[in-house]
Amino acid sequence: MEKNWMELLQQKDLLEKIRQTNSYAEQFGLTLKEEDMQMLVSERQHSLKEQRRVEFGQSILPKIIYEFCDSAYLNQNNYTEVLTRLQDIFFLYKNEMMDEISDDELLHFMKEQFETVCYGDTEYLEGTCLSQFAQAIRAGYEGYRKSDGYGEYTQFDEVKRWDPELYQEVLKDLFWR
Amino acid sequence: MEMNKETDDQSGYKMEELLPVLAELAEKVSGCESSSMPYEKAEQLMGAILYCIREAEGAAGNALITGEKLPAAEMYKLGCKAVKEKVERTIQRYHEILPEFEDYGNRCLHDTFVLGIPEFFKWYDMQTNPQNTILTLDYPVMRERGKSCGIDAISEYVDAIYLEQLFLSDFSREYVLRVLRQQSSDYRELIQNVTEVVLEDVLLRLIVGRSLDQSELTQEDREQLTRYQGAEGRKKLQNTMEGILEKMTDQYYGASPDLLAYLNIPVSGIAARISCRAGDAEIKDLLY
Repeated sequence: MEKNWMELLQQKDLLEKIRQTNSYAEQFGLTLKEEDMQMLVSERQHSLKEQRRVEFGQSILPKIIYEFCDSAYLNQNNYTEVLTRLQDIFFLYKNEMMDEISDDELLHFMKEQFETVCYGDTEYLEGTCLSQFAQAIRAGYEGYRKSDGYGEYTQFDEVKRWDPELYQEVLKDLFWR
Repeated sequence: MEMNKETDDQSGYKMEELLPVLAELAEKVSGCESSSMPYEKAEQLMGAILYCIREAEGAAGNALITGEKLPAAEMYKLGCKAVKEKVERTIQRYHEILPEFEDYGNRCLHDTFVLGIPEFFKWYDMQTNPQNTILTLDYPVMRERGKSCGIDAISEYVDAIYLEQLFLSDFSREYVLRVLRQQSSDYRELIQNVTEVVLEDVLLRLIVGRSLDQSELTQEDREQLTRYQGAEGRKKLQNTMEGILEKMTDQYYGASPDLLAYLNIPVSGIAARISCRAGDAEIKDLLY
């Protein structure tokens, strides 16, 4: 019977808040059904327990929904599944970053990478982008405080993403030579 | 929910009464920047709340004493105030001791009191971790620490050092150093209580009626001490020592009840040691 009082905290009525997100997410063609909401709440419990964390007052789940619902990579078919993964990843990296980063900074970083370098791939977000960023934070990097988590990844990215010179060269090869 | 009915035995408050206090403190600590925290941090904060509530209960004139139970949030606030006041009192007491403080060359006493205690005040976190003692308090004072922690432990420790310094200040530095040196040539490095070593020597001298300058026991003294052999003798010796201490504190320390109570702590141990050695050849080594 481990930490009953902690589990008690996690019994907050979250469903109503998730229900409210539907009215906003609808404009992007995304809606959570009642069973999806139940599933998300139950996954939240599981995720918090696995990561040995406890939520006070407001849960992060509605914030994740508001942050990601306008994503180009979310649709009604993958909506619940991706939200579940994002929630797991969020708690995992709060721990990995030793709680140095705020909720908003982490969400901004996650959303930006999800939309850009990850092209909606949560595995890449978790295993590469966040892993490298967490490593930098553990080593004492604090730049995200100024940037609020935006535009951070390029300095840690080990993959050369875009080379304008090479692009111009290829264009010339294809059309002018 | 069944767990709502659980009560924290130590604070007397139900978990459902403590949780809103915890949530409020957690929000304050995270500065609204984080909606979650690790179990370990949450446990630490709950520990802080329970510690403060206990402090409030311990503080004089609190509502529990008058039979009226205050809400947990109010008790926590009172406790925070009590902790703050105790910290201030302890700092004040520490500064009273420091100018005249004498470590008699004992490295452990110097390191713990002169170097360690200021570090405690530097790092002590009254808000989120008041239960953390931070220091290991290596120099052993005569009073056992028991279960106290945080500022309670430090406050008791500083009070104990205050009483020890008060007792020792009545003896010349040369005498104290001679006693320590004769007890062990390695006295500077030993992790042992200086006051207890001196107290043992002083009590023995008072029992046999020898001055602090005399280093050898006479035949008459030895015969006198053999009376204290065995269980009965030991009890008699302890009573005699307690009587001597009472007179001594009356005469030289303004009848301080705190000092008397403190000096009485090792008396049964001292009596047992002297009683065991009273009949044998070691008797000549009893005086330092």
